[in-house]
Amino acid sequence: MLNDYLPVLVMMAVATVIAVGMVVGSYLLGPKKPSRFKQSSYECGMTPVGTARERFPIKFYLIAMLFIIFDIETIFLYPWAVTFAGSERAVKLFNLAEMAIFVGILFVGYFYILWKGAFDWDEGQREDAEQPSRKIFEPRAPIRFGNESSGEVRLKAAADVSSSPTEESSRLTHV
Amino acid sequence: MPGSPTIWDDLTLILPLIVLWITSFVLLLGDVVVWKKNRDLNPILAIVGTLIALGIAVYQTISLTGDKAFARSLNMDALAQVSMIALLVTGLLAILLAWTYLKNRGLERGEYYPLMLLSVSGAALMGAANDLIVLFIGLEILSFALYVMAGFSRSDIRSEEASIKYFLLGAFASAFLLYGIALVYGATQTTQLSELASRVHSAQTPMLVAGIGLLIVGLGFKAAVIPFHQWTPDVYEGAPTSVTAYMAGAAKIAAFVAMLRVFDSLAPVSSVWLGAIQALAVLTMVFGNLLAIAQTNVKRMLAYSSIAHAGYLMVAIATLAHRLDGPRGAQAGELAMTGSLFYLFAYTFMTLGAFGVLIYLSNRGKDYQQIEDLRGLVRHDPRTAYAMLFFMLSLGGIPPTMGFMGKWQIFYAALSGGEIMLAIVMALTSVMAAFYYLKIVYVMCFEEPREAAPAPAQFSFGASLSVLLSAAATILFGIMPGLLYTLTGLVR
Repeated sequence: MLNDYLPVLVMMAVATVIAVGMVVGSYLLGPKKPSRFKQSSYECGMTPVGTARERFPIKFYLIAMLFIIFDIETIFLYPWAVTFAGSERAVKLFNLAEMAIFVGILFVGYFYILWKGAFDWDEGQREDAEQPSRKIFEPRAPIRFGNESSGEVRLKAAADVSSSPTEESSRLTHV
Repeated sequence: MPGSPTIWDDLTLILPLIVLWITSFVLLLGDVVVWKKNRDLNPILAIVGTLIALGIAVYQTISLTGDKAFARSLNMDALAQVSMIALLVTGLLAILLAWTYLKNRGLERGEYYPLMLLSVSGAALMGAANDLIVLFIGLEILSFALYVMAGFSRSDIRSEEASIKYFLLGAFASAFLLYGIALVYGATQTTQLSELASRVHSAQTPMLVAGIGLLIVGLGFKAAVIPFHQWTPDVYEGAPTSVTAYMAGAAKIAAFVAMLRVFDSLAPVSSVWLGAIQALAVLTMVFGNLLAIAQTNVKRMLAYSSIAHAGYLMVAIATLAHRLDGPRGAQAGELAMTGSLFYLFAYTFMTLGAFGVLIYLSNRGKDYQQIEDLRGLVRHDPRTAYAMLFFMLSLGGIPPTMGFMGKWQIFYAALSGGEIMLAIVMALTSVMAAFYYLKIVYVMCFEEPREAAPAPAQFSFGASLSVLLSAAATILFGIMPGLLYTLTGLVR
C-alpha cells in the first residue's frame, strides 16, 4: 500500500539533494568578494534610512475596521444567494425576509459610521465636526518598546566594512 | 410562516433580547442624527428599553414553558430566564449610575448605552445557551462591548491601558475557550449541552480531558478565577467607575451561569474536572482575600473582592459535581444551583451599590478612589456613609444582609454535598475578608476627615436612585430571602 508513495519519497529525496547541493556548492565554490553594499541588509530597493516604526494617521486603521461591515455582508450574501436560488417557492419569501433583516442590521452600522462622519477623510472641513477634547493632543511620555534602540540607526554591516568613506556610506551610518 | 412554523415561537422566546437590540439601534442612530445635543434622552430611552425587556422577561418567567429555541441551540429554561432578569436589573442600575457620572466627565458619548445594552444581550445569550457555539458568541458579544467601554475615557491613559489589556488577554482567553469547544466536539461529536450530558460518559478520552481543561481556562478568565485573574485589578481600576460597576456585575453573572450550564452537563464525568475546580476554588478564595487586604485603592480592593467572590461561587460549581451521586448529592446540586443564582443577585446588588457610592461621591468633582478619600465620611455625609457601611457588611457576609444569605446557601450546599474541605476554607477566608471590608467602615466612621468640609456632593438623581435601590434590595432580601427565593428556586 505504501509502495504507491515510493515515487513521492524519491522525488522528495531528489529535491532535497538538489536544494542542499546548490546551497553548499555555491558556498564552497563561489568567489567571495565582500563589499559594503553586498553586506548591507538590502541590495536593492530603497536605502534603509530609519526605523519602520513610524507614526501614521489612525484613519488607515479606521478604514480597515469599517471594511469589516461590508466584508461580512459579502461573506454571508454569497452562500445565501446560492441556496436562495435553489430553495423551494414556499420558503423563498421567508428567506428573503431573513436576509433583509440581516442587511438591515448591517445598514444600522453603515449609517452610523456614515452620519458620524467616519468616511470624511478631512474631518476638519466639516462644520459640525465634533471638537475632540484638548487632552488627546497634549504631549505625553513616549511609549517605549523594549527592543527599540535609542533613536540612532546604524547599519552594522555597512559600518564594519573598512573602506574609504563615501557620501553614500556616511548617509547609511549616521542618519 | 410557511416552511418554518415555529420561527415565531422562537422569536417570542427571545423577545427581551430583541427589545434590547432594537433599543440599541435606535439609540445609536438617534444620537447621531435625531437628538444630537440632547444627551439626556440616551439614558432615558435606554432605561425605557431595559424596563420593557425586564417586563417581558418577568412575564415569561411566570408563564415558564422551558422550551428550547432555534434548533435546540437556546435553552429558555428557568436558569436562562432568571439570569436574564438578573442581567437586566444589573443593566438598569448601571445605566442609572452612569447618567451623571459620564456627564460630569464629558464622556457622554451616544455609544455608551447601546454598547451596554448589547453586552447585556450577549450575557443573556450566554445564560441561555444550550450550545457551546452560542455560548461562545454570547461571550464575544459581551466582551467586545466591555473592551470598548473599558477604554471609554479616551483621554485617560489608565483607561486606555485597561482597555488594551482587557482586549489582549480576553482575546487570548477566547481562543482557549474555542479550542476547548473544538476538542470537546472532537471527543463527543456534539456541541449541544443537553446532548453532551448523555454522551460524555462513553467518550472519556484524553481529548475530552484536554477540552474540559481549556473550557475551564476560558471561562475562568471571564469569571476572574485565580490564576487567570491578572487583568482584573488593572481593568477595574483603569476603567471609568460606571463601567467597572457594570462589568463587575454583568460579566460575573454571565460567566458563572455559563459555568453552571457547562458543568451541569459535564457532571457524568465529574471525576475529570472536580479536582481542578476544587483547587481553583481554594486558590481563588485564599489569594483573592489575601491580596485584597493589601490594597489602598477602593476600586482595586473591590476587584480583588470580586475575585474572592468568584472563589465562593466556584465552591458551588464543585458541589454541582455530586449531582449524580445519589439523592443527597442531587439535593446538594439543586442547592448549589439556586444558591449560586441567589449569590449572583446578591453580588450584583452589593457591588453595584459599593461602586455607586464611589460614583455618587465623585460628583464632587474629583474621583473618589483611595480608601484615604473616604476618611471621616460619616461626619459630612452620613447617609452615604451608612449606605457604604451596609454594602461592606453585605460583601463581608454579615447578617442580616443579602450577602450573608447567599453565602449561607452556598455553604449549606457544599456541606450537604460532602465538600467539607471547601466549606472550611470558605468559612476561614470569609473571616479574612471581614478585615478589609471593616477597614473601610473603620476609616469612614472612626477617623477624622482630612479636609475640613469638602464641597457638597452635587445631587444626581440616577446615582442616588441606583444606590438606594441596591441598598434596599441588599437589606430586604437579607431579612426576607424568601421573596427572592421564589425566583431563584425555579432553577431546580
